[in-house]
Amino acid sequence: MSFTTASFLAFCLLFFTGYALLRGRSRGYFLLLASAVFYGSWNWRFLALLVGSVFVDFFVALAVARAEQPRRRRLLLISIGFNLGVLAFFKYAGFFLESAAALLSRLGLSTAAPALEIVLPVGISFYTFQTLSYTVDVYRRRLPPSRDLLEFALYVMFFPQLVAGPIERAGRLLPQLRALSREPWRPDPTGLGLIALGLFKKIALADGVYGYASALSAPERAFPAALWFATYAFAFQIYWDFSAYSDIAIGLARLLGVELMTNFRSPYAATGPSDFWRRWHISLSEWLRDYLYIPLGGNRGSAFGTYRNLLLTMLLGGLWHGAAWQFLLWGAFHGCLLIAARALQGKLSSWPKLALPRWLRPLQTLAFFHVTCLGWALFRAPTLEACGEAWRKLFLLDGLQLRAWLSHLAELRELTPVALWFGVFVIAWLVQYLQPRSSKELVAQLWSWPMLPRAFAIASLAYLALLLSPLKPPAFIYFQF
Amino acid sequence: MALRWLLPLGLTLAAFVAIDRAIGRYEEGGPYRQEIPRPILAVQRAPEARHVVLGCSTSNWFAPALVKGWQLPASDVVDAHMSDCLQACTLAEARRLQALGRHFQTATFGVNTFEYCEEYRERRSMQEVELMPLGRSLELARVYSHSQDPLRYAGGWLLNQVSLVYGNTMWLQRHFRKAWFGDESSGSAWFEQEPGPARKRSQAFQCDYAAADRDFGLAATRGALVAMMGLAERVQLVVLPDREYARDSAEARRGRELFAAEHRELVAGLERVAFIDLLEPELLDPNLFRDGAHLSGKGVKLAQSLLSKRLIQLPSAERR
Repeated sequence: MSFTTASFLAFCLLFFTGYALLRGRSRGYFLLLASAVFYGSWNWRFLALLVGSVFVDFFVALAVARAEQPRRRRLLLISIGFNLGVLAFFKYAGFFLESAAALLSRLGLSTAAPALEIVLPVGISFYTFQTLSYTVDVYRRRLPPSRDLLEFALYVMFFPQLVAGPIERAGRLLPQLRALSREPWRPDPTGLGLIALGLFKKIALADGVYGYASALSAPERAFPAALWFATYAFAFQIYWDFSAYSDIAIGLARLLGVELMTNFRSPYAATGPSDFWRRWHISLSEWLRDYLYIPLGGNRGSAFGTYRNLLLTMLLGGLWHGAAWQFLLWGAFHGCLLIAARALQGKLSSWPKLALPRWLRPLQTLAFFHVTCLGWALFRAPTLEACGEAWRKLFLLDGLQLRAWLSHLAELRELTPVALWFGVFVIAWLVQYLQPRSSKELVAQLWSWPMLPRAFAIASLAYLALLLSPLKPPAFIYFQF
Repeated sequence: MALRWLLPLGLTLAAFVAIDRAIGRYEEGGPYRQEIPRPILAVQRAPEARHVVLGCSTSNWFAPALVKGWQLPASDVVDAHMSDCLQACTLAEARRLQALGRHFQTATFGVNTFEYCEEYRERRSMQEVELMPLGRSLELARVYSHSQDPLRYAGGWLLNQVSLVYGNTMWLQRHFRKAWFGDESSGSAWFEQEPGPARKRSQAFQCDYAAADRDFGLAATRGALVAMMGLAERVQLVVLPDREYARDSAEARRGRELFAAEHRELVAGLERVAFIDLLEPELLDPNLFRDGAHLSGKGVKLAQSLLSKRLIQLPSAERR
C-alpha cells in the first residue's frame, strides 16, 4: 500500500476516523493495528519478522539495562546478531553466494550457486537500523529501556516511517509516542502541506521523469549527451522520489502530533561531499556516523585511520542500499570523495590564500552537483560493466555528440519534452541553490501566507500531481532497499 | 482550532473540485466520461422501448440480434451498452435506470471470459461512481469486498466522489502530458545511437484469469444480474469467449468450461435470469476477434446469428 495509491487514501480515511474516536491507550493499540495492516498489505507473512524484531529488542534491551559486563555485552551481541542475521539472510545471502560462485568459477573451480529466490521484506533495512540504534543506545546507557511493549512496538512499526524512514532514534520518537496515549490528540495541519508537496514531487516529478533515467540501464547504446541527460534525470528522480516519501511520512506523523526528523535539506546545494551527507538522507548518514564511523575510531586517530574509517563507513553505507557491486562501488566513490575532501581541506587550511573566493561558490556547487551525478550513474547502472561504460561516456571519451543527439531527437519529435525536462532540472537546481531549505522549512514559510493563497498552493500541488501522474506509476525507489 | 484546521482543507477541496469541473466537462473530459450520458440519454429518448441491452463494448452488437430474433420493431430495443462499462458498472447503470423510473420486459447483458478477470481501472471506478445512485453505494461496496484490494476500490470510489478527473486520468494524462512534457514511455529510441528492433506492442485486453480476479468478476456479475432483475421482468446473461479462450488448446478449453460452469451455477440461483451460452464451436476461432476481447465484423455477424436463435421465447402477447 504505497502512499500514492487510492488504497492508502481509503486506509487514511478509515484510520483517522477511528483514531479521532478513540481515547487513551486504545488509541495506541489502534495505531499499532493500523501499522500492522499497512505493513501486512505488502506481504502479511513478513509481519512475523517485524513482530519478532519488536520482541527480541524489547526484552534484550530490558535485560541489557539490568545486566553488568560481560553479560551486558553478550546480550547486545544477541540483538545485533538477530537483527543483522535477518538482514543478512534476506538481503545479502543470495548476493554473497552468487559472488562466491562467480569468484570460484574465475579461479577455474566450476560450481553452481544455489538459486536462492528470497523475497526482500519491504523496509527491512530501515526498521533493522532503527531497532539496532535502540539497543545500542540502551547498552551505552544513553537511553533507559522502554518498559511498555505497546510503546516500543509503535516505535518499530509506526506506519508513516516504517517502510522507508526517516530512521528515527528512540530518544526522540519514544517520548512522542508515549504522549499519544496520554495527551489529547493535537494534529499539526502543516502536515497537509508536506503531504501535498510530497505527492507532487513523487507523482508529477519523480514518476514523470522516470523513463528518462532508463538510458543508464543501457549506457553502451546511448549517445554520451543523452547519458548526461539521463544522469541529471536520475539525480532529480531519486531526490524527488525519496524526499517525497520523507515529506509524506513527516506530514502524516504531524497529523498524528508526532515530529519526525528532517531527512533532506536541498542536497544539490552542497559544496562538497561532507556538506552533501549533511543534506542527503540525513537520518542514515547520522546513523552511520554515530553507530559505525565513531565506534570505528572516527577522526580521532591518524590521518590514515580516519581515511580508513571514512571508506569503511561509506562502503557499508553503499551496501546498506542493496546487495550489488554497483552499490558498493557507489559507496566507495563517496568514501573516496570524503577522503579527498578531507585531505584537500587540510591543505587549504594551511594555505588560506588557496580557499575559493565567494563569487566562485555557485560554480563550486554546480561542479559538485556534477560529481554527485557521476555517483548516481554508478548507483543506477545494472552491472559493473555498465558502470564502466557509463563513466567512459560521461567522461566524454567518445565526445559529447550533442549535435547528433539533438538531430536524433528532432527526428523522433522528442526535442520539446527533453528541452522542457531540462528546463525543469535547471529550475530545480536553482531552487535548491537559492533556497537551500528542507521541505519542513518550505512548508513553514508557506504556512505564514494568508489562508487563501496557502490553500490554493496546496490545491494546485495536489491537483497537478493527479493530473500529471503517469499511467503506470513506479513504486518508491527506496522500497527496494 | 478545528475550524482553522478544517478551513484550509475545505478550501483545498473546493479549489480542486472547481478546477476539475472547469476542465473536466463531459464534452471535453475524454471518451470514458463522454460515454456516460450517451446510453442514459438513449433510454430517455426511447420511452416506448420494452427491451434493453446493457454491458460494455463487447455487447454492442446485441440489439440487432434481439430485433431479428424476436422480430420486433427496432424502436422496441434500446441499446444502452456503454464502452468500458464492465459488470460493476452495469450494476450501477441498471440502478440508475431504475432510479429514473424505467422498467423493461427484458434486459440483456453480455460477459466474456476477459471481463471476469480484468483488474482495477480508475476510469471504471469513475463510471460506477457517476452512475450509481449514492443511496445504493453499499451494493458496490459488497462487490468491492470480493476484490484482492478492497481498499483500492474504496479509495477510487472516494476520489471519484471528490473529483471526477481522478477516474479520467487516462485521457487527461495523455492529453496534458503529451502537450506539456511528452510521453515518458516512448521506450529507448530517444537515447539510442543505433536503435534496436522495435519491440512488439503488448497485446491489449489480456489477463491471467487468476482465481481472485475471477471471484471479483463473478461477484460483480451477480450484482449486475440482481440489479437488472429490478429493472426488467426477465434477464438474459450471454456468455462469450475472448480471443485467448477461443483458442483450441487444453488450457483454453478448461478455462471456457470453468467460465461457463461458474456462470451457469450463478444463474441457477437467480429465478428470472436465463443463461445463453455462446461459447459455441463456431465462435471459437481467434481469427474472429479484432483484439483480445472484441469480435471482428465477421465474428459479430456470426455471433448475432447464433444469439438470435438462442434468445428466450417471448410470450406472444409481448410481441408487437
